Amino acid sequence: MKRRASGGSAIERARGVPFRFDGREMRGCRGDTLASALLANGVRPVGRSFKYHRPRGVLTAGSEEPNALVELKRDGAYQPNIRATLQELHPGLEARAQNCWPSVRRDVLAVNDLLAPFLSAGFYYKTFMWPRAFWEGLYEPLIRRAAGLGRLPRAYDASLHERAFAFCDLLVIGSGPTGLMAALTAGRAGADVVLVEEDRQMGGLPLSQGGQIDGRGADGWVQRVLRELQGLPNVRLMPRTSVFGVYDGGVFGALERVGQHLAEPGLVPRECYWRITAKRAILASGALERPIAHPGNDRPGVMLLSAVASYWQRWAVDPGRVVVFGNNDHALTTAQALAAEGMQIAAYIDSREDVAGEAPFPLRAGAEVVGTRGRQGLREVTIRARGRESRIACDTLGLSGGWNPTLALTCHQGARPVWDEAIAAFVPRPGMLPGLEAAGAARGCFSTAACLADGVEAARAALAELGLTAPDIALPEADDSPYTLRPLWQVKAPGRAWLDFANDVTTKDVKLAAQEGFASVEHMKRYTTQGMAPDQGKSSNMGALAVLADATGGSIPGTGTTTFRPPFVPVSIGALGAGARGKGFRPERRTTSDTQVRALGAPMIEAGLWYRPSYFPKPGDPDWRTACNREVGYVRKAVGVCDVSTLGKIAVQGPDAGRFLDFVYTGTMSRLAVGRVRYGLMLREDGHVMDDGTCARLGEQDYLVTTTTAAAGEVMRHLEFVQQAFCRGWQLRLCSVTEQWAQMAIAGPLAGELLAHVLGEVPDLPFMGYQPVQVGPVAARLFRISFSGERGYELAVPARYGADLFRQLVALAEGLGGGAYGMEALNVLRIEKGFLTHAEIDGFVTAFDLGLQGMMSRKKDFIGKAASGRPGLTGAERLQLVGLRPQDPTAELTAGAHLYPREAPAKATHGQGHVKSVCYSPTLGTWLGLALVTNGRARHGEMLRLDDGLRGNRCEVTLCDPVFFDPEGGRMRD
Amino acid sequence: MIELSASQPFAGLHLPFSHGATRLSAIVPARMTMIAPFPGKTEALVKLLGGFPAPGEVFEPHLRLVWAGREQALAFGEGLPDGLETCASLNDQSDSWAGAILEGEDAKAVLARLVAMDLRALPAPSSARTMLGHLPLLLVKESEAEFQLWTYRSMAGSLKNDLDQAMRSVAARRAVT
Amino acid sequence: MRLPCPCCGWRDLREFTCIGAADYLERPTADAPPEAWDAYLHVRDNPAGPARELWYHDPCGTWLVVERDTVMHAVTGSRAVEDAQ
Ligand SMILES: [Zn+2]
Repeated sequence: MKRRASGGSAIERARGVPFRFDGREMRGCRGDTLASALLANGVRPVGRSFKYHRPRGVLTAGSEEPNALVELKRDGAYQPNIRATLQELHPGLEARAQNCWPSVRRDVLAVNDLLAPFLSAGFYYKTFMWPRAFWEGLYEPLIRRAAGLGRLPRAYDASLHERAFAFCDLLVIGSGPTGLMAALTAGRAGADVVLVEEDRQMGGLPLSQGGQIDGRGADGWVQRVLRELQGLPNVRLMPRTSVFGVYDGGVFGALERVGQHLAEPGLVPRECYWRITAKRAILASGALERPIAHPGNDRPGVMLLSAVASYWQRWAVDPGRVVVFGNNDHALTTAQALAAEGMQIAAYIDSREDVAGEAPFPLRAGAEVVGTRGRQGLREVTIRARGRESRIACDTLGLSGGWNPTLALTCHQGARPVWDEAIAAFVPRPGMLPGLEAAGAARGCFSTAACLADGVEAARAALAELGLTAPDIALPEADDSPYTLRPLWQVKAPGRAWLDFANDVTTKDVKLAAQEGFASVEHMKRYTTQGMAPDQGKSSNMGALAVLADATGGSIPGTGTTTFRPPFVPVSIGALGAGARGKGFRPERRTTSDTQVRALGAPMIEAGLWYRPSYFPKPGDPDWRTACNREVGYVRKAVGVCDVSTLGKIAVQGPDAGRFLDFVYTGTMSRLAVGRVRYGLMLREDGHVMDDGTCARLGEQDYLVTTTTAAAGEVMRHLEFVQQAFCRGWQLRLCSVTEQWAQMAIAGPLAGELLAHVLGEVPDLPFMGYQPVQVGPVAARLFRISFSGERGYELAVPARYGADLFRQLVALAEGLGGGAYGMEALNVLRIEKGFLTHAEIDGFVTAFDLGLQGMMSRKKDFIGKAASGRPGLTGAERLQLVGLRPQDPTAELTAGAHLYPREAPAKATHGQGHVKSVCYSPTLGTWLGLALVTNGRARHGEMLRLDDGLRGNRCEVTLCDPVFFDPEGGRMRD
Repeated sequence: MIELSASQPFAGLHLPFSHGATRLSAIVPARMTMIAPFPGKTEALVKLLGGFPAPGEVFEPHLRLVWAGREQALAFGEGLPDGLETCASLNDQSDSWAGAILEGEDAKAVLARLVAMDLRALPAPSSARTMLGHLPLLLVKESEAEFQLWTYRSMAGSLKNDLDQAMRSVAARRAVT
Repeated sequence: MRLPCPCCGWRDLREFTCIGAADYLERPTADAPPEAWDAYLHVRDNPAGPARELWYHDPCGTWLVVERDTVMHAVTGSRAVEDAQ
């Protein structure tokens, strides 16, 4: 059989393209889709159906395709569920049929087809019920193996995806006659227009159906309009782009196939996920032809008539002998046009009695197709007319059950379409979705002339809303023949008639669902799985609905549609996650000492977005704890250096700065002397602790607030809120200076000595003091504060000097028998001293719980004051901060463990509290913990059992004061 | 007494570089001061400075003032007039930011991959606070083909990575169309 | 979804943080009875229709009162908290 006719507007015949399908070498032409190339190569079954594994062929020529889903080899892996109708052919393309084994022609699971009587609607729910024990072992794996279309690649997906944002005045979705006229009208008016088209080529139906527009071939007219649009700087054309969702505020999700059609994409992304923000949008998405449910309608070779026309016109695929089965005028005119162009039309079958016309082929009115034959593809169809059956030999059956406006996008925000009796289809209501109007075939205007006029009209309306003047535009002349049909949803004859090809749902299944009580359209859908395949029932929803209405005796509009939700077309997870992979997942914040600490071999840990060193290994260290203990020793015995720049720093400046800080801190900062630092606590308004840190008064009207690393953003937002909401007109401003200063902690008995090397002398600075200092010519800030319990300073320099300061401090510290210390050592040092972090300040604790109730001023109002005094937030029933020491000092404590009375079972009812932080203290030679325990402060000395069910750790612990080391604090004040 | 040497925000990140029609280069930091007038003191400030930028404005009475957020502007350069501290909060931000210039005819296409804003609609010069991917961003549009991109110093590496990837992608697209 | 910031104009949702109803602006006095504080902290309407919400525009640091319809999702107004009421 000759499979390429002459012509073919989309292909370049001279340029052959080699490709492989199911391991077979084939050749197509440049411009082919995989589907057109397969058809041109005589491939009929291109996949197996989901449930019965029946052979299936190409049904459509667009993204609505339910059958021709294949696996495509890309970047070394097979990508499943690629629609062959959209995938453009490129040299070396490799695809394979999915849902079949060993091959699409001989598939083992086709045995399912023989089991069809047992696999009817709802079989999942009926079959896999009992015994219950079979679920995990048998049913679930069975369902998993059989379920789903295609196979997920197991390997890491190396393909590139991209995301992008676009903005425009007017988004036109679809580039048929309606969309082109809309874009042209708006483009000439100077509006900023984006025109998107799912196909590689713009033009819509005229590309497939030929005909005349403006006194010339429709194709020529399309090209002329496109040339003008390309010349307009305010118009952007986006082919290969599917709009898949409409979101609030005029945001549209669209998926562009960027490199999917390239043999060597290189760095070109496979797809781009666009978010298009449009002030107005016109939905010119046209209409989709619907099939007819007749027995045997799923045989390869049965196609939509529009697809037969499309493959012929655009790709010159010769369908052989064609029988056309329709119920509308458009089907007949299409058959006439195709016959005039040389297609062999074996017969035209119309279910209507009153059809007549001049045609070079037999025209059978009042007839229906009641059966098909052919093992791997269609060989003949059985016709029934006035009760008598006859057979016609053919290679292709073109179905046309009428057209459904492609209106799904108008329903994405919950609105429902209305029924239009004249075209027996749902159409969008005007104003269904703010800012978006359907035009042309998408709202049921089916003739070319009507579409052209409607495109102009829709653009005029949008331009008026945009405040732009529409130009005068001449309407091209085009076909305006009426479209009439008599609905034909199913042919009532013996045999299985398919509605949903992708999910194997027949008319019988829908009737069974209705019989079994699943008579609402949403129930029927879930019971039969109709419309739940990747095509989302684009070719089957209407038919299934009509069959359901028939079975329940209701009307179609009364039965109603299922809900249309995004995405309108499948969107790969890779595209949704574009840009967020690897380093794009979240930003990295690096300190100025980052390069250096990494060079020292420190493993990094994340603190919020920051990276900080956990410890500094040395050759011969048996484990990390050895390094940690060594670093604790630096601080307790000599001097340690640690980059603490990640702590949030907020400048609070102005005449009312002190007053403001009194309002946000529990303590009174306005009475802090210039040059002094105070520990402060901020509460949330609900009385719980938000954050802690220091507050330094740098000048009369100049304070510096520090926050914990992880809470810096939250605290800044909170302070902004308090200022803007409750402190209107107060004379102050907030400014984050976190990044301006590189700040290094210098801690240990020799800290002063080290500073003398840095500054030239030991500064005379009392504990909790601040003074500006000079490091040579560099103006710096020196704070005497300690998070380790040792004599401690923090020296801040402008960030450009941070790297060098850290390097020199570490070198000096090493000279004094100390060195750099990391987060592990910092944690040990602070636990030994009972200092808090967000491990303890977990959002549930109050100042009372932490033993810090003394820090809450009684003399003033502050955020959280009223609520912190509520019943239930203070008292013996509260979980209070305590220290933990194990009976056996070598017994490891684990954070997250729960505490119980020694003999009580590990049940929630016996719970006494839980462990927040633990460490091994080399200073005290024992494990230590900080815990929250009910009425803990009154229970020092009591013994409890620590029980960590998750890690299987149990030991006995004694409650004690949370300050384990130097409780008087002499070492840091000294 | 020790002596300290300075390093640049993009140190070790191999700027400048180009992909296709776009080029990314580091801005050598100058003195940058964040000026935030106290409530009701904007007029007094305007007298001293010769003006103060409204949202989105870039304004050059003598120093360049770039709007940088609610009630605040960044002043670029030395020589702020005396007395500003009576009507505004002042903070040295010279070391807080990492700034780069993205230029070329595809600069807007590159930014369309990362910034959820219509940059074509902005006048030149103008400024905007927004995000570049997940990064905080102060964007200054100098012309249709030149943008200053400022993020916090610690995120210079992420800024470079994001831009590098978008620049490569746009250049690769150009090469096939 | 997009929201208007009085400083920056319409911006994508990703730039904003929401903390709930604008009732949170009506802070009781320090000596208000516990019932007033309870209502302030915890009691909120859950309107189907027009709502006033507190949003933060992170990039520029402005707190906003946004008027939004929770059924239609239409944003009908937005003012800086400082200028609200
Ligand atoms: Zn803003």
